[in-house]
Amino acid sequence: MNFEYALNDNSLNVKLTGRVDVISAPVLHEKVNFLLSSNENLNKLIFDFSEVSYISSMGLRILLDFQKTMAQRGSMKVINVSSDVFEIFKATGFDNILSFS
Amino acid sequence: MFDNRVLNRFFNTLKGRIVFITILFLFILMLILSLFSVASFKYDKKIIVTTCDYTITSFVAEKINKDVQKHLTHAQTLSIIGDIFYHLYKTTDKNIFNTSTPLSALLTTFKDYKDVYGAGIFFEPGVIAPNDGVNYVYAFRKSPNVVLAGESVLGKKYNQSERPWYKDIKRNLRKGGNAWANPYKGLGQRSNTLMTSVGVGIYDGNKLVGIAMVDWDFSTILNKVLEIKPTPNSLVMLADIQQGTVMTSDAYFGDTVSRKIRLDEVSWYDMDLKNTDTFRYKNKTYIAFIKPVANGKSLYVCVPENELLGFIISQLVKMFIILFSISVLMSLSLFVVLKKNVNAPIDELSKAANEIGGGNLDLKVNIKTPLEFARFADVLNKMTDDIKKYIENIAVFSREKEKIESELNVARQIQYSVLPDDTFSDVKEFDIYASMDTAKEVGGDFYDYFFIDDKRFFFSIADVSGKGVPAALFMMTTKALIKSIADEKLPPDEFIKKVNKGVCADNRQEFFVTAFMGIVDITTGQITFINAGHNPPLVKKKSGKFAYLKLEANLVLGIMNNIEYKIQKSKLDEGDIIFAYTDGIVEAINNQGKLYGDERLLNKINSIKSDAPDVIVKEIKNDIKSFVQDAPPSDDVTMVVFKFNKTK
Repeated sequence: MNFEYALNDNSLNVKLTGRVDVISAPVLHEKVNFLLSSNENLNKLIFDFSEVSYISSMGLRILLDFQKTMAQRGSMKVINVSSDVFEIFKATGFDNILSFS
Repeated sequence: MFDNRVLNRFFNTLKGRIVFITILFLFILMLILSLFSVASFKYDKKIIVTTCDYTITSFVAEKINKDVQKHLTHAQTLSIIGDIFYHLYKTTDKNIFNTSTPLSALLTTFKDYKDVYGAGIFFEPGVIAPNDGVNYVYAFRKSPNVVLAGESVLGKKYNQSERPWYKDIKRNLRKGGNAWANPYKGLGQRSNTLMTSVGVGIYDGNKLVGIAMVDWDFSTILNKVLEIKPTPNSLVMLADIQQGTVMTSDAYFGDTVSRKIRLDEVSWYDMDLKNTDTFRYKNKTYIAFIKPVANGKSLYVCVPENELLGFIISQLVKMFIILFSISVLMSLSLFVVLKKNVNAPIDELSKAANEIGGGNLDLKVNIKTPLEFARFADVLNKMTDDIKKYIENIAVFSREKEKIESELNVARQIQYSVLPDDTFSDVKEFDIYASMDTAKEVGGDFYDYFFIDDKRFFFSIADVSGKGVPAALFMMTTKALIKSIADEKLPPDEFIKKVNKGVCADNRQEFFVTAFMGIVDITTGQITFINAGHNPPLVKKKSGKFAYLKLEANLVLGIMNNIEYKIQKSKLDEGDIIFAYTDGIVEAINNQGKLYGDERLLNKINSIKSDAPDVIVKEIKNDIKSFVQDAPPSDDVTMVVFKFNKTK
């Protein structure tokens, strides 16, 4: 998984590439948490999934964790999800939990 | 042979380098000093030459001159007496003249001529005709206090005109001047003495009528000459240029001092030397110092250059020897000092380090000086203490770890013990086999199966998001929750809704659970699937291939309360197999970081010849094992295989 991010005034845009699985999800969790804790005025978290090919239950769990955190600070969004990956979100019911666009 | 490596090793030590630098420094110092010496050498040479020239040669020449001058003065005094006498004789009665008249005057003066042998006034034959027939007066000092005088000394028949000294003087004499006789052997008891005489003429107008003379031991002059010995092989001579004769030291000619040598025998003489000059003779360079003495005589002092400069050179050599000894001494003392102050402490420290490395942590290095090494020893001692403490900590830590591990093992046993191990082999309608391998001691996966009633069989597989102890604890409560709610025999949709509520109830850690459950009526093959966000199982319809089961999407358990779950119904035929698993299989990672993946799973499961659930589980497990090899397990791996055999 590759990890790129753009930090604007109060929004963090994270672009992921590849698989979000047992290997990459903890890394993503740590990095984004660090950015969230070091930028207290952040109230918008966007995950760009245009290049993501797979997400595992570990990936879902950290998305859920970010969702809970951001619910108190603002909002979280997952964008540009491919149809394959969206199938996973659908299969796990996460399509109703997270906001997409 | 000399071994270069020994030298190399020496110069690569601290000691070697310092000694080398010191030697180099001293060598440069010596070089500078020698350059300075070469510069000062010329100056020193000049000084020494001047010393030889003025201090030795001139001094002696001056002394000789003074002696001769003294004798000459006596001779002049006598010549005045002789002159008076001659004129008296010419103008007065010749009969009253006899030798006693000038003799008394001679004796009067002669008393004072302490270093003179003899003195006299000698007239030319026929100039005077005394009544006693003796035409000279002569006084002679037999011993310091005994003076003999008169004709008895030389005898009545003494004829001065035949004597060499008289001839010498007469030949060289000019009016108003004086002349020396060449050294000659004395008469009688003085036949062994080398004599010389200085004479002053007595004139009648321009005609020489007599000679007043003083004679003395020539060796008084010669001894002064021979005293000159600036260096052992110096050549010293007194030359009479007018007469072409030379008196010299025996060292040069190997003869007695009395020998007269013709100047042309002195091979270097005709080199036309100036006052101070250099010449080569018999392969030796000499520096000649020449001073005129008196009456055409010159003093020659010729010193071999190497002997003259030998002094300067020997001084230089001495200086070099001293400097060399100092550098050797300094190097040696530096060597010793460094050995004691650097090598010894380093040796001690390395020995200590070796011993500490070998495990002796109670060792204390004790170095008081030099302070640098004392500090190093302190650091080493502190390090040893720290290591000791660290090892103690590790011991405590590993005891703790062991305790935790043993507790985890108990937890693992508890976790595994809640999983069913009965395969219902007595029930012919189906075969079931399940397996769970946790990534750590305990895991977040579980499976379960049991009869709800006589004909309905329930099986489930679930995955708590996360690993290890937190997931395990959550797994235990979830499994118990499902079992207890299943016992209530609710319709499936109510059942799963209640399970979700229960999982949500005490979930503060944001855990969620994916679960796949099946409820089979073993009499009809009717099956109800409940899927809460779990990955779809692989299903093999009889004589077909394994393929993913199409499932309604439902949310995972534990996130949201009060949601509805879609239930699916289907029918199993004889020989249908359901392979349910957790994503630990497809996400198993090998050493190269590759994932096991769906494709490999499908290929593998379809290649298994047997339909027996236990065989399928074991083969899949082996394939995963051969894929990951020795990579640490990344997630829990759980499988449940259900095979429907026949309807009743």
